[in-house]
Amino acid sequence: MIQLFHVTKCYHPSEHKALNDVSFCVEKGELVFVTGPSGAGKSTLLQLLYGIDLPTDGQVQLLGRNVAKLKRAEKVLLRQQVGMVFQDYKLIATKNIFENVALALWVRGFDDKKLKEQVMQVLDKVELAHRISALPCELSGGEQQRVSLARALVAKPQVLLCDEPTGNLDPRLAQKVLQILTDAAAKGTSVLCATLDEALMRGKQRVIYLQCGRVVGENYSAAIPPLMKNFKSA
Amino acid sequence: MRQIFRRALNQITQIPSLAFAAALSLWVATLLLGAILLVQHTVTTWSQQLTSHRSLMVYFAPEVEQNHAEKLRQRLASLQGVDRVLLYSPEVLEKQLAPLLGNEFLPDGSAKQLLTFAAEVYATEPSQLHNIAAEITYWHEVEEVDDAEELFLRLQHVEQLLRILSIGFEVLIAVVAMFIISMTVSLALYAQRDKLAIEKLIGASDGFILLPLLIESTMLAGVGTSLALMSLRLSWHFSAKYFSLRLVQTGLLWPTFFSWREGMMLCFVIWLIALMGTWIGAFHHLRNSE
Repeated sequence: MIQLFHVTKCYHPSEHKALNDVSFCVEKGELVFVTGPSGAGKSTLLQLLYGIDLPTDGQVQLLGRNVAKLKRAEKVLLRQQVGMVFQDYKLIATKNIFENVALALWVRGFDDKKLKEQVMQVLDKVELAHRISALPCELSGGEQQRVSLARALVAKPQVLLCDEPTGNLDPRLAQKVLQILTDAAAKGTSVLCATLDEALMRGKQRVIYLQCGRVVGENYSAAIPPLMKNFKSA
Repeated sequence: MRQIFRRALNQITQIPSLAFAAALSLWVATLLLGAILLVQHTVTTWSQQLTSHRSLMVYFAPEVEQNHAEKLRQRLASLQGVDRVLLYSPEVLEKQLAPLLGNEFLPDGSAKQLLTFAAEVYATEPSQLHNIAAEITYWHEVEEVDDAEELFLRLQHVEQLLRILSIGFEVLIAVVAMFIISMTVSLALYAQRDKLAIEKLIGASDGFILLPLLIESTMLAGVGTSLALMSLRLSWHFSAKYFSLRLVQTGLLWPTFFSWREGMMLCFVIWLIALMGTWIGAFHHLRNSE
């Protein structure tokens, strides 16, 4: 579902590489966390996967398609099969919560009748069903984050990319989000989640460690590899 | 579909000033295009009226008397292509010419001697008048034949020139209207760039963004053209009231307003201008926003 082959991203030739020779793949129904300190390249990685940016070198494949080679229309079609939770939520300020979530279905051509039930279901899942008519500016950061997650999940995407989905959430809600992500993976969605939240990675999920744009470790436990520990103590 | 209409209405209500500017430019474009078409229509109608009433004036020689003139009239009427012939005596001609030329006509009455019997020849087809004129020019009883060829050629030239100018103005108006619409759409999209960027990020196609804009411009074109056609109809009605009586003397009739079909054609053209303008404005924005 997600494949990266020796991906390098350099924003400026004279600057350091945001991603340096990164390779890994995520299978169908797998939940994978990408972690690492700020500036490690987690968000860049997700942006390359979502086609917001192009890799300087290497190949990024999503659902079997080389993202860098996609035409505009193909990219739109691909994005309709992928859900993305943005770090800055990217909610439309003039639309209420219901409309923000429903938008993900409108762009996919869902009609109004089918859409309402689906939107309410997912808003209920993120515990925001009671605030459907609120505008984003009336919500807390954590609530906005959950709306963003709801919007990414509502269309039941094949791939879910999450950029810090629990950054503003309390531990209870963070665990709730983890449960939602686990459920989505169990239903066959491939989930790649960039996070700094160690509590999220306590389970037996696969964790990829990034540092200075390089993959420095990968395991299936909550144990933090030595390199990361060094970074943390520093 | 309901969703698309709702989004189109949202576009209008979100930035009403731009929607108003677009509707206003379409109103002005329809008004100007309509006015040009009406002028063209009037000139064409009058030209047709003049052509259909076109006749040949045959002035007989001074020695031709009443009886002879009547025989000549019958001879003229028997010619191929002649529809009818009216005979004028010098007295009748004097009566007809005096009001047109005023008191200076025949000041001493000497010119009265110059007036002769004359005949006015109408052809079944106005185009045949030239041939008839050529045939009767050589009759020894005929002193002069006036088929007003020069006048009608000049009229044709004026009509052609007006047609070319009209087309030029119509194209200019269409281009300017399209430019204004594309600019307003571009501005509207720029004002909503953050929203559109998010929509595109979550998988909105160009069509998803473009369709409500096209529906919006269709609605604005509908409003603009309807108001413009109503304004034109009203001004035409009052112009007809004012000018009809004044035209009686010239023998011309005030033309009718656009037919239903012509009005619909004008609406269609304005709608196309609105759609093209929207598409140009949106295309520019959508290509550059990726």
